Amino acid sequence: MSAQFLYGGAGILLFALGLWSLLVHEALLRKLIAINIAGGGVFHVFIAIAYRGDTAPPDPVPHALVLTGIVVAVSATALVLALHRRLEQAEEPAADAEVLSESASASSAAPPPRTPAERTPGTPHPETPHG
Amino acid sequence: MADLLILPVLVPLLGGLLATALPVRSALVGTLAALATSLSGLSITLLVWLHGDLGTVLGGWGVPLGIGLSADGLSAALLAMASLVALAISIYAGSYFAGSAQARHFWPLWLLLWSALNGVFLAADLFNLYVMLELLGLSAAALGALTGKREAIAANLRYLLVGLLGSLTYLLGVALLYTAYGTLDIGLLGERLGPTPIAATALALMVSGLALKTALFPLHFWLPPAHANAPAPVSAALSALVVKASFYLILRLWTELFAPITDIGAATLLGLLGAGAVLWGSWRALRAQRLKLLAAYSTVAQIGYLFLFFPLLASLPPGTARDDLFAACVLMALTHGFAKAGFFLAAGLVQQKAGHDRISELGGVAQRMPATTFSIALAGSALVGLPPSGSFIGKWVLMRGAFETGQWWWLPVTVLGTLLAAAYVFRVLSRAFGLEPTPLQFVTNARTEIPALLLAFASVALLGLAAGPVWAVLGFGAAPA
Amino acid sequence: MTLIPWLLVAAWVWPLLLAWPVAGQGGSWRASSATDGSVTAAVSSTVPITVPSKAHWRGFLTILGPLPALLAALLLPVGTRLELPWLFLGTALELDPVGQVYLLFTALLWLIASVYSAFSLRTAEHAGRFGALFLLAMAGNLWLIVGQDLFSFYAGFAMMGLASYGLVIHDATPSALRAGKVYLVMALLGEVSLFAALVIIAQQTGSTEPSPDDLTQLTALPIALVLFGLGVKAGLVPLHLWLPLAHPAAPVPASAVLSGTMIKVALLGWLRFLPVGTQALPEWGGLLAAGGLLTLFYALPVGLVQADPKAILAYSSVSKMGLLMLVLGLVLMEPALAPVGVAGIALYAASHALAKGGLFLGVGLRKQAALQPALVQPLVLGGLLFLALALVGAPFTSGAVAKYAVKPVIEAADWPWVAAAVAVSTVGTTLLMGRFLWVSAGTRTHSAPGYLWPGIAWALLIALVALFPFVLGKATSWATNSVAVPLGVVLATLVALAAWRNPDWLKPLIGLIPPGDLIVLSRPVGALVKAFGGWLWRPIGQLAARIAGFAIDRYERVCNEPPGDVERGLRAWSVAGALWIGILALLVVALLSGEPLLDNGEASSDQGGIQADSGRQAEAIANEESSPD
Repeated sequence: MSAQFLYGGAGILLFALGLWSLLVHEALLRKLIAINIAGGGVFHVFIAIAYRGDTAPPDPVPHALVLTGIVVAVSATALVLALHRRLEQAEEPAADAEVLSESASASSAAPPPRTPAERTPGTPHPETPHG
Repeated sequence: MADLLILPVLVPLLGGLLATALPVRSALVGTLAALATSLSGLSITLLVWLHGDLGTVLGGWGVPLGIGLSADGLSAALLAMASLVALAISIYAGSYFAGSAQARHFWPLWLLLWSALNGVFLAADLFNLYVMLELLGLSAAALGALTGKREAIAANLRYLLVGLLGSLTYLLGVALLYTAYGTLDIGLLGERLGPTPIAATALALMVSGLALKTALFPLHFWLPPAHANAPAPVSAALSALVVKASFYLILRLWTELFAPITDIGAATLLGLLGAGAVLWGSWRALRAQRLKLLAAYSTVAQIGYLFLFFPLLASLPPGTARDDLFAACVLMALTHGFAKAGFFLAAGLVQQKAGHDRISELGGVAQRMPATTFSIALAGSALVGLPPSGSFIGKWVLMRGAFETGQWWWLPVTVLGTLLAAAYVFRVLSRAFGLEPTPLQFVTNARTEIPALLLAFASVALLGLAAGPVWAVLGFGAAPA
Repeated sequence: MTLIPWLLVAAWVWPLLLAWPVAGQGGSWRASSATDGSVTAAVSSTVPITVPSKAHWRGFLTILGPLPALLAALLLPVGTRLELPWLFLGTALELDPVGQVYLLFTALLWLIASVYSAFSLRTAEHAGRFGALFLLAMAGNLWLIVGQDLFSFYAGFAMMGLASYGLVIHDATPSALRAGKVYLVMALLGEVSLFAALVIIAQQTGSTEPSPDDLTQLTALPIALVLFGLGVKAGLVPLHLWLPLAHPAAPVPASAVLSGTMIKVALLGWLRFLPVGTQALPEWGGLLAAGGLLTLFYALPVGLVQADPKAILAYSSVSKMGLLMLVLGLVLMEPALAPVGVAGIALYAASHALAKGGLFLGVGLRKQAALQPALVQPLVLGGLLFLALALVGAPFTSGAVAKYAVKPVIEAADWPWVAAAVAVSTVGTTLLMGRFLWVSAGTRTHSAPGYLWPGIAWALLIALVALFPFVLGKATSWATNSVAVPLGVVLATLVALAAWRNPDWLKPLIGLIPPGDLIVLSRPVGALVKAFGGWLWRPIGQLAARIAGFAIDRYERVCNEPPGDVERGLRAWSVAGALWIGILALLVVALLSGEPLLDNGEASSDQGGIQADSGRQAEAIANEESSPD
């Protein structure tokens, strides 16, 4: 029983740590790792739930859920990485402040041909990890 | 008959796979799949309307292991709205993306999104809901970043992370529930759930995670940039449908599954956040310089109205008055779906024609596209809540409920929100009056203008003049007198 | 037989249906605008080609709009009722006695105005847009008259009011746009408070079609909101600000219906949603009567100094609405007067609507009707003279009959001086109309083609006004106002003679008070108050400014945000995250501390918490049983 609580508590702790890191750190990769840690915490909780005493076999349902959850988490991570790469490649590096600057004309209507943009070397990217 | 429930999820999924496999023909495949999906969704709604609730478990496994699907009035109503709106978006997108490389990426992602959306409406257990929510969030963020513009990618990356956080929090709540009650099936849980601390914590976790995804004030920070920078059909889908999916889940959890433990205090908290959303969202919409940003903030405000219903629902005993309020809330969500989709589609046309969407410079373009301007006017009047739109009826019932329950303080919020909405809609419409010449035809490009027009028209006339069917689908008696 | 009540539906649905084809006429009158929009845009905006023969047939559909309503008013017996429970939360259409009078004069005036607009505006820019909005406003106006339930009234009211915004700013001149802005703001304020009032009425009476007896349960709030909401439409001083701006700004046919029929719906709404005749409301009645008197006497002098004939007519409308509000206020104070008063109000509204609509159309004819043959303009002036006499209520005109109808109410008032005040106002109105005729006589004419049929329709309207007293009034009523009006005429003649002898005598007064009086006048007053206050409170002001400056400085330093992007701070992850965690914590606290509303009794206490394990095991067993191994 105490092992179950230990696992569950550790899971919740991991979730809290991940959440903290997600909110505090600016770098995107850190955020990504943080959210994966938080996800790992939730999976931990599920695994702890599956415990049904030393004699009974563990509940299979949470295991199935965790497996599904891992698949989802992997695809989400992949998408974040892919978008991050696109962001680095996107033209005109601009400060985050201009994302919504009202005067910026966002003519997303006529899709322009994607230019294979080169990232200007030396310009620090606001969302690349620094440390 | 209940086996048909899988179709609205399966058909777009297969269509998406096919569109991925045949990139050259993706538009054709996508349009056909959209048609089929829409038909399957509408037929489910029809079945629920005629025969009542449906439920099935896939693959012959028992309830706890197999994937359960079910449809009741609430899911049927939203499914019907999603089917119609998504079909209009698909037709519009076929022309909007014609000849563009984006089409190849659009169709598979769009069909995946649609599949996940229908999955959220039909899933019968909490974990499948999580999977569907994640799929929805992933495909939505990918679609939103489709233009490849920097600001679009940055905004949707933020949206993606926020969505992941929201889903994880929801999943943590699910884990707590499974710890306490040992099932994930909504039906079984509903029988077992009682007012325990663990259930309360689970509800708080799930609702706050979903509130993040549904952009409830002040957690709406990700929405305006993400919605305003997406391509027009995607903006329409994000604002009209995707946000509704998580709202649907909140409504379902709060009013059905967790009904034994929700109380007036927590509901008032949601109502207060809703009031903040109404006022702040409308104010920001009024101040917005760009048409699509205006529409995005208007979504924030409209989501706020939906949360105003919660404290009223919480303080009414089960009965006709409560049913009316519930139906009015759903009706407002449906109306907003139609109206906002129509608004975004029309705004996209204006943007395409003018090359920008700065409101102050739209005069000439607005006059050269009478049908599009008319769509904006119709959709705008539904957003304001003018009669005979569905949101007029929604606000009517909302205000009456506020009086009946003695919570008169929601009244000034509604009134002020309505005034602000009228101000921002007329700010756009007044640009359409000027001395620039108008073209020969009312409709200049049928394939894009007609879907927008029909959506806007549906929000005003269809849902307002015939609100009765909404009550009927939800399984309530006649519409309120 | 059973089909005939459907005229009540056709009355307002038909104009709605017509709006579509009429909107579609676009700019098709241009001979060259066939192919490319952008090219012709440049060409046609510089070379406005007016080719009347190219006028699109769809423009004439407007004329068909009011016909079903007119038929309904003429053919249907009073009390015809049609219930459509499936429509819009339950709609009830009925022709009540007051509604019949309203429907008749409304449909008539819309018909004549639409003839005018179809012919005079068919070659104008955006004829299609004007026509469609004209039909929408018409549909709203007719809907609220035949609809007996709250929804129909509000829906019609909102449709009419908002479509009229498009009519007011149709010319897109700066003054029209400004008038439209004022109109829109005030109309929306009125509509929202009316909406709130109707919600409360439905809630307090428990019915969406409240009878006068139901309405006696109303508390002060809905009554105040109804008075305010419809007071804006009625032009109750000081809520009248939009009226003298918007009515002159709109094109002539729109002004005619704005001033003729649309402002009258306020009275209809009050008659329907206030307990008229069932409950004495001395305070509210007194308030409305006092407001009416104020309106009546305020608008007269302001109107006298106007230079634009349409502005003079608009102020005259404000003044006449004041009289009607006075009568309604007296009826509210003394329910016994209701039968006489309500009939009088309806009759007066009808008489004023036809005369005022005719006057507005006449202004348009005076400005634009052909100079050839030479007889036309004198005839127009003659028509204006007759309508002006009808408006002031000269003996043997429709105005006299209408005045006679409301007289019993005024004479029965608790305040004996009301009758004298009304007589004085009649003299004042006569002077105002004298001023109007003076200005109209001096109007310069820019003749434009296509005014033959509008002229004929106008002549028919004059004939109707002329017949009015002899069809509807008793012989005793014909001689009403036989003192006040001649007195006014004599005064007006004297003033006119003096002004003719010495043209500079009255010049300084003209334009002294611009249309929209209070809005414009409040600016210098505001500046004065500000200057005076600034001098008086300079030390305090400086302190306040310093505090404000400090606060703003701090605020900007804290948020460090560029103007226009207030949400930047919110988008920071730490801020958003803190807010989110705060909401989560509040939710947990609220849910844990709150009393659950629905106590599930045994069911929940059985299965909660501690015993969940057993439930889960039962579940697992059920599992194994159902699994297919």
